[in-house]
Amino acid sequence: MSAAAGAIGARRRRVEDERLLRGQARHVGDLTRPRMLEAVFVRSPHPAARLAPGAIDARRALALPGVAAVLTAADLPHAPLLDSVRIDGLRKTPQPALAAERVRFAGEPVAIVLAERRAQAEDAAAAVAVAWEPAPFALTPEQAAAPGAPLVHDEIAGNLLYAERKRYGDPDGAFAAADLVIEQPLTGNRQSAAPLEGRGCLAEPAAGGDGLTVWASTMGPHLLRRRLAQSTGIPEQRLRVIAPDVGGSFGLKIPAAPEEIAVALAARAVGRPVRWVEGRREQLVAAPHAKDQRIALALALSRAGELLAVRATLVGNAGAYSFNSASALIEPYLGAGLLPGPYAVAHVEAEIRSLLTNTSPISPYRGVGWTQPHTARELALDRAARALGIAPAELRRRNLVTRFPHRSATGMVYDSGSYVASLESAVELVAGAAEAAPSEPDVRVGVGVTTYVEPAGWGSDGALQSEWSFASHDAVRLQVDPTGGVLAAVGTPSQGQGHATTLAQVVAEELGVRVEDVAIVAQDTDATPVSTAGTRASRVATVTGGALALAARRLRERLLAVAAALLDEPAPLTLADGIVRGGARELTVRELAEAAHFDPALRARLAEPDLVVTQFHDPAAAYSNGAIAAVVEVDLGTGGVTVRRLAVVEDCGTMLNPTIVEGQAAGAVAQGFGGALLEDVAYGPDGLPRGDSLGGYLLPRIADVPEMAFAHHVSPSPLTVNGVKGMGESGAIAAPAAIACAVADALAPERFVVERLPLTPARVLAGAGLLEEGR
Amino acid sequence: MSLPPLALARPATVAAATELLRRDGARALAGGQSLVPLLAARLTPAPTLLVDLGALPGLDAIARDDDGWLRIGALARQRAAERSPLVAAHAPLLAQALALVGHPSTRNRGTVVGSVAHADPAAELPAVAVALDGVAVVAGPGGARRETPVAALIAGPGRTTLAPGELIAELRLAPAAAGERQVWLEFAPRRFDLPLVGAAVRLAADGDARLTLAGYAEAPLDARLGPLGRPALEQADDGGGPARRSRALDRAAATAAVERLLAAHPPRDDARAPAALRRRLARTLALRALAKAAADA
Amino acid sequence: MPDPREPATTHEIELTVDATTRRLTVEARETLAEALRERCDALGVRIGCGEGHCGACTVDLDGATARACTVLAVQADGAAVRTVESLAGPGEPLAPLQRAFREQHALQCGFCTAGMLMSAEELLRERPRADDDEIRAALSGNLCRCTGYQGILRAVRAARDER
Repeated sequence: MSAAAGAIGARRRRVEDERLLRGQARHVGDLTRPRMLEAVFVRSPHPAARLAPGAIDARRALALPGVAAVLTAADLPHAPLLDSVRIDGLRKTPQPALAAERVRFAGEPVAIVLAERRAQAEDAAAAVAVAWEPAPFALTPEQAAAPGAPLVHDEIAGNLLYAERKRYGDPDGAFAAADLVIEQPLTGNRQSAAPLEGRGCLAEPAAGGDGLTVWASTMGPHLLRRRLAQSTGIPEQRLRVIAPDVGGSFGLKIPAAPEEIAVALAARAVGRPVRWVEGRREQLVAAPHAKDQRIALALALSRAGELLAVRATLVGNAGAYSFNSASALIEPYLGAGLLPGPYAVAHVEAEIRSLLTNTSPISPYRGVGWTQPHTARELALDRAARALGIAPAELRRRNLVTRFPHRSATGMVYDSGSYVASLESAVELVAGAAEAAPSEPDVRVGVGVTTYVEPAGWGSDGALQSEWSFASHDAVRLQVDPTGGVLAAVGTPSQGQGHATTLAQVVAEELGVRVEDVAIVAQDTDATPVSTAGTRASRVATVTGGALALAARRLRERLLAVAAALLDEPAPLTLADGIVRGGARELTVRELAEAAHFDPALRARLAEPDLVVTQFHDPAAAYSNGAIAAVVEVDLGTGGVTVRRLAVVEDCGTMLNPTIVEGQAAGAVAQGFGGALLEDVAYGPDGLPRGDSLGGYLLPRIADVPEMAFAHHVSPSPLTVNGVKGMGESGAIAAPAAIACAVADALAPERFVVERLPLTPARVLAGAGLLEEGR
Repeated sequence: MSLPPLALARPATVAAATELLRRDGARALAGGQSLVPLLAARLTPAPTLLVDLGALPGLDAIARDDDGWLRIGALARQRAAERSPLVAAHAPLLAQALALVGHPSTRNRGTVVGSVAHADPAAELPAVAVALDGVAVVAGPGGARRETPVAALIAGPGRTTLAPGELIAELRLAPAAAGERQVWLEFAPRRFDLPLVGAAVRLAADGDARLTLAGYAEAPLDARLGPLGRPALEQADDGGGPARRSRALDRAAATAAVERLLAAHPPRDDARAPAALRRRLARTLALRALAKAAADA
Repeated sequence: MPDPREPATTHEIELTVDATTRRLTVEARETLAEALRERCDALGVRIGCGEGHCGACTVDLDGATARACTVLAVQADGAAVRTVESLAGPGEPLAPLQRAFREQHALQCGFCTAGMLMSAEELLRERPRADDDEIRAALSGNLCRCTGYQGILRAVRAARDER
């Protein structure tokens, strides 16, 4: 068996690792350019405020050492950022790169300070005097919707960004006929994606002309390039965006940051490179936040446990702007489409609302709007199971989709899956884990099992099935160089997902070369074809990978044509591991490449003598699935929750690299863990987040996250190239539910209904009735 | 993210250090694990002069005096105390708590005295110092020297009774008595975080119990709970070995004593934890620590 | 040269960074992390929070790990600092611990990796037989957002078992 055959599906070690392990990664914060200035933003300490003309006084700041400039909105004219979603009824909220007369959330930037050194810029930012006129503010959807509430945007009445009811089937009839109705409210927490490397960019004006090169910690260089062009007016082809090494993102770095626009404008204004490296407090307060849905969900079931209908009101806290790229509807609207989950429920109703508040805007974070409604539905299912006397896993099993393709009530076509098998694997992986006696008498053990479906591999069709307007297609370029090396240029760089490894595996297998001979180029808009969506939505394996597979097949034909011409051999030719064989003769790809480039006689005989192909791909929708089980200990003496065991079952169709799949699954589950138990931005009544440092915003660490047991199922998609589906958000969608259900199970004797996340010790004890006076 | 502008001095003598500390805006810097992050957060007001104690000679000792008391110098690192055989033998409470204070890299730099002086009401070491009858030896300007119990040193959250120009030169801790058991337990939602509440228990050979709580009140709450261990039963080892004392906890008395103490002192209520949670944590940890101390016998 | 015993806003220090001795003029307020990155080209020292919470900046300072963002550069005068680059120099093969990280998929974006390696290296040096609880305690202050810690735990065990 050759090394390349089976490259898809091999647990190849990552090519990225060597330099990362040696400390040789270079992030935005490591890059320097001659004459570079460091940028720090002056930000609003108020959740809402007005600024009169001249309110920003930079005189003291400008007198400090090393300070080159303090620029405001007036100095940097630009077009505001707008979300690019086209959904009827969604109101638009233009967002400036720097606020001018009005700030709408604590942390919104109003000025950019440029200095020789970072510390000098921070000193100067602290010395900028701003005559803020604090204004009334609203922090929650309830406050924002109240009569007489202060308007975040004057033109948006009632702070209502979007309101729609969607009805599929006959939910009223189903609820009327139900033997059991479970009402499940859930106040979801507001989170921060909190990648370990914050946002940042370095903009360098071209010497002469209006061009700009921008290195940015981004998930989509082409997306940022387009936004920069729209905002700054610089023609897109004179903008070059390069993603250097990026230290994680999880969705945060999909949209353009207003700060990135401001940095680009500032660099152009002063004619020098400008770099901004986001600080952690800055990121936790002023960067977009995530999740934060208020949910009222209800399930209708028959006595036999058939899930008849799901109904939910999903209210999203949009923050102060419907953020660019995916808009505020990334939360409640997407959540509505996936209410059925992996269950064959025919009737669904969703009331979707999104309200503006004076908080940081909401933007994508792993799992997006699917997570919190999923949690609500699964909690309700467990309560239904207890009420009906059916085991929670069994109740799910009775309702899981088993025949494919399955068209969900909301119009998603689940192409293939292992819903029941995954559930059974998860149950098996935690079998026995609940039996061990707890360490203390007042510690309870609980088990939670959840099944999920993940709209992965988002192309335009996937977006359509979510009733979402979202151009998601890629073009890739694949070429064989004169010395036989293979270069794949794609618009989807990594922030840790290992694309340089997995995409090379795809090319190697499809083209017939060795993985080592394939290089993936992904970071530079000058060098790569456009990806309209970038790296996100678990789409790269399906969209980029699919495009590369198709490109490789075409290129393979050309190589074989070259070989046939050179060998003049009638016998069938094979190409594997970089060697073409025909009869007794063989040629290396290197030899083929040299001939194709430099042998004029050969080139004259070939229809397509060049070895470069460009391939466009926009795949059909595909859906991954899986199951997660959690065994927890709930200590009623402290309210502390310890997760004893986690089982992670994943089916993403054909896996490109199982090791990387497991790594992604583990990371997603750990993030779900944080969402269930620890994380909360927690705006205080003063409009400032309590979780403004990593001491206050608690992220899971190695001493908290247990070891996970993994299992895979493989249900290839019948619709995609090689049956690949994509994955990555799985655990972030479903792990909070697994843990929350396990806690509810542990406290079932107390009839604890989980209504808020995260499940802090105080909430656990209160839910168990143990937090009153004297107890 | 970067620190605000400031000056720093590295005096070579305690006398010079105390003189520098008299200046306006001066603050002592030892391990820096509390102070430097605070400065990096740029939460005003910030000190403008850091007096780095790192060059002061002879302040890193951990020793045992003739009277049996432990002496921990101002610059003795938490890690050194964690590994010290003297601490293990004579102040097991401190050893237990140290294993939970931050992480190895913070214990490598942070000092025991520095944590006590920082007086975070939730921190382990101030409470442990109070539990062990800690005495702070304070050096002042002009060669002044005084001693003050740690319980009196800590004035409130983040505040001590140190006057300008004073620094703690060393901490003295009472050794465990013969047959005494010491237990430290703490709770935070995330392991190895600053606790919400921590409980130190000292159970004497005669069954007398003492409880000191971190995180419950504005400063460590220290109380003698009375005789909670039932009288020791001597059991001679038939092989001729030393007699062993087993001791059981009078659970009802312990519960009553703990509840009485908590009822007399209202718990803190803040963004980290509401009062009712602190009360329950204190009750749980105190009783578990008492039970563990009795069982360890 | 100004007297370091007196208050000053800049100080001259000398320190060894990965076996190269350097003489630097630093600001009093400058952290060791900043000095290493900006004056000593030690870009493997990463700043994830700047306030001592995340561990990304963990280095070895005179034989013990330290969060470089919590140490003032002045405090490292006369010290020997080792960063991740001391584990394997240019052209040298990866150290066993680094190889174990690679083999066990213990890194994804890599931002936490240098700090994680320094903490793991100290652990295995001090406790060559460290069990899972000790591994978790030793790495408890190193935050990772990508891996869920699964590969990291496997890698440290593998490196331990290889010794």
